[in-house]
Amino acid sequence: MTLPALPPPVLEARGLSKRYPIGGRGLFARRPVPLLHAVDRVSLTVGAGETVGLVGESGCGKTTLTRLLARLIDPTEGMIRFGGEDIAAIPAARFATHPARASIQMVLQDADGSINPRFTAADAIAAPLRRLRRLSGAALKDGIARAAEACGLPPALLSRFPHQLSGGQKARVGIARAIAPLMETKGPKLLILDEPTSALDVSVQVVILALLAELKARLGMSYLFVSHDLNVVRLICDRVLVMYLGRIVEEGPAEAVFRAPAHPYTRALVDSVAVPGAPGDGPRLRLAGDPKSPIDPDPNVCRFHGRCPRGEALCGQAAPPAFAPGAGRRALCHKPLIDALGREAA
Amino acid sequence: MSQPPLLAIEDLSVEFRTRSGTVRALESVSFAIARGETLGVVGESGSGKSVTAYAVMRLLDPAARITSGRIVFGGLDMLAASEATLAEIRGRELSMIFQNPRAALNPIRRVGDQIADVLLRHATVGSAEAQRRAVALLAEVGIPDPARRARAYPFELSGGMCQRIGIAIALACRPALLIADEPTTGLDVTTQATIMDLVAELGRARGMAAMLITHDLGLATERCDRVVVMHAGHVVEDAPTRALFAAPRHPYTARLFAATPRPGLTLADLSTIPGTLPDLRRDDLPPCRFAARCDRRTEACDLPPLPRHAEAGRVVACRHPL
Repeated sequence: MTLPALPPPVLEARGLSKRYPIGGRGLFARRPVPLLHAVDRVSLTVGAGETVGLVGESGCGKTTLTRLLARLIDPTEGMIRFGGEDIAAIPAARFATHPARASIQMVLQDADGSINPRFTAADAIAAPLRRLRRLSGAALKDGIARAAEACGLPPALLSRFPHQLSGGQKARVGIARAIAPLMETKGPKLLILDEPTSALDVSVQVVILALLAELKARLGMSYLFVSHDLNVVRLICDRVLVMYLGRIVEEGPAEAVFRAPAHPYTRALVDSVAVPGAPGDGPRLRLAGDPKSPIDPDPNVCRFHGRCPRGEALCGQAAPPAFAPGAGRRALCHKPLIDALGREAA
Repeated sequence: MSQPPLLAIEDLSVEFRTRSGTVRALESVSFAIARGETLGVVGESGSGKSVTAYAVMRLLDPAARITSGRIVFGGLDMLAASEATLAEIRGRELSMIFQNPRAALNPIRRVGDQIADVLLRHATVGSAEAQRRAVALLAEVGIPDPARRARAYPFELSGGMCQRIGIAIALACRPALLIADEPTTGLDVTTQATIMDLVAELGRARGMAAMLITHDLGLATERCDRVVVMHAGHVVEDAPTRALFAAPRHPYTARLFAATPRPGLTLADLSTIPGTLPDLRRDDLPPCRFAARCDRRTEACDLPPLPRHAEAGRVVACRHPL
């Protein structure tokens, strides 16, 4: 068997949107129902073995996007190709029994709140194995043991309830539960991690990040890593997607994007992060105010217009074009901070 | 530095009596804050950062017992002060902002009224003047359309705005010391930066000192003149910020820093801190509570007392400092 030079992406989304109607209107209402554009024409890929970071402020649509990609909710439009099959058209209710269900798993943010307090660690890991892999009896026990072992959970902890576990142990249960149904499957595997370490102390965070890196290699997974902590994203992600008001406004290799952002919003995010041990110098870009409303946004105005320190008249008259400030990079901006060769722009 | 410090904590020990035993939450904690200085208190969960802050505010849980030490704030012995004196000082000379701004506000009172309450309590103003000043304070903390926002309830405002209200309440009477307990945890990074800019700017303008409690070493680096590192109820190191991060002297400080992600590093560059915090309910806690996790430990580390080396404006509590 020969290996192809470039393996196809594990996950590819094209023109993915999710719009929510706001407020109930009567059947004969004259005005159209206002729509909240939670995710707006998002295209992205996650390559085999890749860790892709997704960053942005709360309310920017990160969570809706991850729920779309995990097929927990139905997109309004767009395509999601996972392992060569378009899974966007399958209704979420039917996707629950689709074979790919076991291969796209999520690790939720708050291990405290997302594990049933009346479930032991073993129960928590067993639930997805029962539902998605139809395991029972000895096979179920075996599946639980393997997932727990992979996540460094000693068997003695499996009979404990969440309140009897430390923060790091709960994080391990959350990861074990997510990887349990995909451990034995063939084909592409995607783990969506929503702030997996935000509640942890740095000493525990390092251990969990190392565990995630090890599991990724061992099980052949790809990661979509959602986080507020740009220092962590920079540490572990190959590529990064920056989201603002439902749109991906910048994407590219993580180190390149963080070192020289092209979009003023990315610059403001990077400038907001305090670097441990190295006091910043020079002017920092700060954002005033809040993002615009995501309800019926004007398609001919940049979403960042009004909050953007570089904004000019044009930004309020036309949607920003896609611009490539370097290899593998893309930014939606009329006035990017760097030019096509990566030099500082005026 | 011939002036006495604004706040001096000396040899403070605090215990909590719980059903499962006595938790020795703080032991012999000592540090000081000068007028106008911003001091960071860093450490992981359970290190005693917040207990220290609550002890200074005299807002400890009834289960807590201060077993030794002194807290002197502006010449006043806080541990001997009467409840009436404390009530005068809190909110006027000494105020606090909290981690969860929405929970720290009264949910069923308009935010303007909540700011006016502090002014009515501590400043000799009438209610009309208090309302007017509340609106001015809202403008000062950067809230757009302050007259309208003053009539809003906390649930109508974003997390960042609620924290701005918290700051307006804390700063209403121009305190000499602001204690900020994880003031930006849970806020977006862009909001965090503007909130900390605001605290720094108002602090500078008023010559206010601040005690910033945080687990975020980046925040401490960027915002603090000096940093106190706590571990398991001990102050392990106390040093000017630059000196601390340039050359940590306590093995725990070094370990904590080595575990913190920062630009230019990969996951392989970070190291873990072995072991866990000791159980603070134990009767036989060693003199150095980090000893069991420390690779520089010798037999001498198990012998009391825990040494405190003080030189060149920094203190390190270690038998074998780096």
